[in-house]
Formats: sequence, C-alpha cells, structure tokens
Amino acid sequence: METTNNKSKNLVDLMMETQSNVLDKVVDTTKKLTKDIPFVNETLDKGHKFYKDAVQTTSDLVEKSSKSIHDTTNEMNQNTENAKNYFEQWFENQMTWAKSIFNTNNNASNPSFAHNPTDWMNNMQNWTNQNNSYWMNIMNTNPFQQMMNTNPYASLQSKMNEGLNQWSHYTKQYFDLMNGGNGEWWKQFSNLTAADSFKGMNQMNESLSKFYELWIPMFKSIQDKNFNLDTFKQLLNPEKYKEFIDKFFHFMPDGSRKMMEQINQSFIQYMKQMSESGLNTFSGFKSQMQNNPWMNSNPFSQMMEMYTHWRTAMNEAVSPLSRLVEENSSVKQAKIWNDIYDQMLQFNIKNNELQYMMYQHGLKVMENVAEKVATKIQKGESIDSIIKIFQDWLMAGDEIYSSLFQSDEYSKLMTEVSSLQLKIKQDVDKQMEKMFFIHLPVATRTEMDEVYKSIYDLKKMYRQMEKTNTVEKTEEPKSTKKK
Amino acid sequence: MINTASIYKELFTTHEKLQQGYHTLKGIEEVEVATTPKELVWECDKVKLYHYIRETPPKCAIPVLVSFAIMNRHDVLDLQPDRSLIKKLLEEGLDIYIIDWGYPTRADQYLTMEDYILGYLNDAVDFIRKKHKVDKIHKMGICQGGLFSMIYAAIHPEKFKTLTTFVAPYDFSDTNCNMLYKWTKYVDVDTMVDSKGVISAEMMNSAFSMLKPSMDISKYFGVMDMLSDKDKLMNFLRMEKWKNDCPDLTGEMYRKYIKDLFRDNKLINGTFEMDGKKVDLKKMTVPFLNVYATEDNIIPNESSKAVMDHIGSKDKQLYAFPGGHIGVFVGAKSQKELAPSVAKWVMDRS
Repeated sequence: METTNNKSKNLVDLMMETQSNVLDKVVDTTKKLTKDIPFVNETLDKGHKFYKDAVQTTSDLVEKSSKSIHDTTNEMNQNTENAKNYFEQWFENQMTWAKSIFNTNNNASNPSFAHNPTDWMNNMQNWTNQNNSYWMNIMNTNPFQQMMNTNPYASLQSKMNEGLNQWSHYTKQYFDLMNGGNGEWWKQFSNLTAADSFKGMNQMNESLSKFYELWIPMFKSIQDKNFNLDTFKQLLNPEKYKEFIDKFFHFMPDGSRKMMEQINQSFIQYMKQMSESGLNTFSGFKSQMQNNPWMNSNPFSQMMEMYTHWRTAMNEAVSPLSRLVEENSSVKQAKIWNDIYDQMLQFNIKNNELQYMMYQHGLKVMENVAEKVATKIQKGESIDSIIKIFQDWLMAGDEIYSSLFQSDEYSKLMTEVSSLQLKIKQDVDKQMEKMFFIHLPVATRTEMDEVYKSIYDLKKMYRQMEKTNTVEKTEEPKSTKKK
Repeated sequence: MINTASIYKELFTTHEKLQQGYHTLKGIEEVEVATTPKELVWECDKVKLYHYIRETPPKCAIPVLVSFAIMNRHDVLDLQPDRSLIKKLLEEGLDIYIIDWGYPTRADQYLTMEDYILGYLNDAVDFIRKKHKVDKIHKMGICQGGLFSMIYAAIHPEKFKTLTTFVAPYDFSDTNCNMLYKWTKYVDVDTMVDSKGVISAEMMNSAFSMLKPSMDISKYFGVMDMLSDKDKLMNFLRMEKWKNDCPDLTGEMYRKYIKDLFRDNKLINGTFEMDGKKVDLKKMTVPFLNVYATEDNIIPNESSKAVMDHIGSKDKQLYAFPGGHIGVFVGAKSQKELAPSVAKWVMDRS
C-alpha cells in the first residue's frame, strides 16, 4: 500500500514495488485457485522468489543510474534558467488559462456532470466570455513576434523535462489502477464460491437499502394518499438515484476515475509547457462557440464538436513554435501523449453520453414503478413491501434496459466507448514500455508477445512435420506391398 | 396507505438473513462439480481428452466424443449426480469421451479457430478412432462446441457416424438478432484483440449479464430463502461455481469467430473458410440431431434451426426442448426426457 514515504521514492522504486505487489497478488490468487495442486504451488513459490530477487537487483541497478540522470537533468535545467525566467510570467498566464479550460473540461469526467450536461455548456460559455478580454491582454503584452526573437526552445525543453519527470506520480497511479486489489475480506471463508455468494447477497442488501432510502421521502405522500407521478418527480433525489444506478451497473470504477483525473492534471501541466497560441485561431474558435445553438440538439455531439474545434485551434497555435523545436525524442513523446489526451477527452465525453443514456432510461424504470405504486394508492390498496417495489423495479429495468441495449444507438456508442478505452490503454502501455521498461532488464509485454508468437509458430511447424512423418511411415509398407 | 411496520420488518428480516448467510456460507468447505469418474487419455498443450469410466460395458460399441463451448467449462454437463446429462447418457449405455479445452493465457493468444477445430478437435477424434479401431465415431457438441463440430463435420463427414448439437448458434443474420448478436456487429474486434491478446472471461460475462441486468441481484433473494436448506443451497453454489469458472478466449480465435461468423454470417452464406479452404455445409451429410431450447435467451431459436436448410444430411431432426439454455443440461426434463431420447437416437444409428 502507498504510504507518505512513497512520495520521496523515485519512479523506479514505485514501479518495482508495484510489480512486486502485483506478483504477490497473482501468486496468492493462483494459490487459492490451485490449492489442491502442490506442483503448481511449488513452482509458483520458486518463480515468485526468483522474480522478487530479480526485481530487487533491477531496483539497485537502476537507482544508481537514475542518480546520474537526475544530476544531468538538474544541470540542464540550470543552463536554461535565464531563458526560462523571461517566459516565467508568460507561462504562468498560459497555465492559468490552460487550467481554466481544462478544469472546465474536467467537469466532463465528473459523474455528477452527466446529470445535467447543459450546466457544463453554460459554464463553458461564461468562461469564454470572461476570458476573451484576458486573453487579448496577454497577447497584447506578449506579442508573438517578440517571443520569437528570444529563445523559446530552452524554456520549452526545460518545461518538457519537468513534465516528463512528473510521470513518476502518474505511473504509480496507473499501476495501482491496473492491478488494484479488493482487500482480503474473503479470507475468512473456506470456499471462494461461498465467499462470492456472500458478497452478492451483501450487494443485494445494499441495493435494497439504497432503494429504500430513495423511497423514504415518498412515504408521507403515500400515507396522505396523494402520491402520483408529479409528487414522485418532485421527491425523487436524482443524485441519489444516479448513485443507485451507478452501483447497479458498476459504472466507471474509482480507479479509472482517478486515472483520468491524474491524466487531466498532467494535461494541464503539459499545456503549461506547450500552449503557445495565436490570437486569430482563438478568435475563430470563440466565434464558433458563440454561434453554436447548444441547447437545441444533442449536447454531447455539440460538446464533441466544440472540443474538436478547440483542439484544432490549439494545434494550430502550437505548431509554429513546435516546428522551431528539433524533432527529438522528447518532442515526439509529447506529441504522442498529446494524442492520448485527445482520446481521453473524447472518451470522457462519449462515456458521459453513454451514462446519460442509462440515467434517462433509469428514470423511465423508476417512473414505471412509481406509476404502479400510484395506481395501488388510487385503488385504496396498502403498500406493505419495499422488496416488492424493488422487485418491480428490477423487472421493469430488465424490460426497459434490454430494449435500450438492443438499440442501434446504444450498441454503436457502447462499442465506441469500449474501443476508445482499449485504445487508450494500448497506447499508454506502449508509451510506458518505450519510456521506462525498455531500459530495464525485464521483458516488456511486446517482447513477450513476440516470444509467444515464435513459440506458437515453432510448435505448429513441429506438429506439421510430425504429422507428415507419421503419414509417410504408414504409407511406406503399402507401397512396398504393391511392389 | 403505507404499512411502515411491515416494511421495517422486511428490512430487518433481510439483514438477519444476511447474517445467517454469513454464518452458513462461512462453514461451507467444498463445492464439488463434475464428480462422475473419468480418466485422462490424451492431451496436447492445454487441451485434454477424458474418457468417462463405465461400471458396465456400453450398449453402443461406437464411442461418443462431446465438446463444449471454449468460453465455458464443460462441468455443467455433469454439475451434480442428480443433475448430470453425462451421467444419464452413460446410464443409457453410451461410451463417452469429453474434451477439456483448458484455460488459455496470453501465451496462447495466437491460437486460431483452425488450431482448435483442425488441430485439437481433429487429433482427439483421430485418437478415439484409432483407440477403438473404428472409422467413425458419434459426435456431440454444445453451444459454440456444436457450431465447431458442425464446421468439422462439413470438412470431415467421413469421421462421424452421427452429429448431435445442443443449443448451437449457426445463423447470425440480423433477423435472428438478440442484443449480443447486435453488439458483435459494431464491436471493434481488432482493437480488442490487438490490445488484450486474450479476451477475458470477465468481459464476456459482463456482456452476457446485460441480457438480463437484474439477474445478478434478484437471484440473491432466492438464496436468502434457501439458507436453511443445505441441498438447495449447494445446488445454487455448484451453479455459481460453474458460472464463475470461465476460461478466457484466445484473441485470434475470437477475431475470426466475431468477424466471419457473427458479423459476416459466412457459414450460412457459404463463404466461410478454414485454412483457406471453403467450408460447404452441403458436404455435412452425417445424420444430424439439432436440439434447441424453446426459452433460450442466449441463442435465438431461429439461429439454431436455420442450419437445417443448409446441410447435406438426409437424416436430420429438430428437437425442441422446453426450457432455457442451461436447462438443457441441468433441468429435470433434461434427465428424464432429453438424455434418453438423444441416447436412443444415437444408438439407433450405430
């Protein structure tokens, strides 16, 4: 588990620790699953020890080399200090600007956002109006030509280094997410299936309790016999209901949310380094925003369109400066990460659209149940069971959600979101390999995949030869006989 | 009016049952499935072939090879002694082998559909033919295992005496669509396979659970009421054990499965290929029994039945089982009616 001491640890320590923890978890889980197979456990124990030793050796080795890298980076930063000072104020302003827009964007990854996306739109509109004059001031006092006469490269390079160093924190977060465990509550059970069943019962009970909480405000109107769909709509707490649906469908887990927040923070930092901008493109973007009839159509497609324009504007603004920078590995990395962030933002927007779709249908489910309750009240029947109402909710949910899941609209969006998620993971994994693991004496996933492919091809070739050989042997006597 | 006393009592009772559930479930040591004795007779990589041990000589001299879907364990065919399709078929006099596809890992990601059907399945078939010194054996395939058996039978009809498939999907056209069929039309299978290598059982299961979202919650209402009945509770736990024990799928096999079969419906359209050679269902001339479940919510009936018009078999029969997808293996009618009927159909053609 992470402690405060970890903050002072270097990236390698964190990676090693995470890998080690992951391995412990894998070994534990495999042991549980194979507890009756001594051979497997013995092999695991040996492999485990071997791997841990290897990790420790690697850690020692890399610690030594990372010290010299650290010293070099410091020296480099010192050399660029003067140039950096010149831009300090300018970058601070840029950071404030970038932070402002990304805080606005971050709202898209906030679960409560999906409740009312139009709020986000309004905020964005307000922000644009407020910041236009601010932006004009910045550009007037720091004209683009004046910047070009100095040495932007040094500052940019320094900022890039700074940005890359921040990945240690991000890395820890990423691995925590990918390998997160669920505690050890199940250890008190003798049998894993029984433990899982208890967990299921517990979740069912929790859902029932939350469902009951949702209905408490309505009890009085039911008692007063004035419960109807209008009172239901007034009394239903949408936030609580959203939480209930989230739990029911296990939406984006905390870990994923943390990862996205972390990536967005890194994005802000990245923008601090890279956001050199042109006034014209920004004005064009602003005009585009003002002309958009936000409220009159699907807010999510508008949001996506707005984001695309914003990104185009930013790219156009950054590109003149980035062309001055030598196409070295840092610049390449920055570009790749920029694309990953782009995908992340797109994922956030589309995932919110998907969730919004679910909440809309969730409301239909609850309305369906409320209607049943209201009909009962009108008939003078008594409401005796919250379990019955809950079960009605489940049944109505099956019907309403199934029709949603079968729709083309949902199917397309769901698979698009899933594909974006996989692409992000794939790209991040690839970059992590290139940036960190390639320098370590451990096989990367890509290398392992290549090994697996070679083994597969060799096995196939061997079997083919074996079969050919068998056929030849069986055929030989026949041919002799003929002769 | 609202009866708050009754509602509070309900909530308290639920909590009490949860507590009882904790104590009962904590005390359960073992949940055994697939206990009918069998011996390992052949293996290749992670694939194993088992032969069920008979106490008496079989009534039918020609052996039967059973293969289940790769994405699920075959254990459900022998869930418990009184709910075992395998045990019942043995009692009816069949001599049964079963393929265990194993648990593929990332190391197996490159295994293709050809490797499974023309490799492992073919080798297992040849092993049994050789061991029993027969040219033809009986083949039974379940769900995806039925589809794969059909593909193999179209390529090697000379090796099968009969083919029986249970709840198998054949036609993936839009008219036979359920939610899963539709999703596969849009799914970005290349990104999925390229990024993950193997398709996790967790991902597959979460898709299946969307067919009836309430299932994972509502089943526990039933469990809470069966806590004091050990037999019922164990039945539930055995089924849970099987449901939670799902192998991952190799990426390359999944790619072809989704693209060629689900998306392009190539088998029914007559354009499906294995190792570059066209698979012609008209060449599947083996006597064929097609068992489908009338209440199947996973494989639409039309998807199972459609194959009847495309195969070359003259001796072909549909069997409508009144129940759901899993009921075919574990339902009471499966033991009493389906197993004896299937065994008779097979033995009549031995």
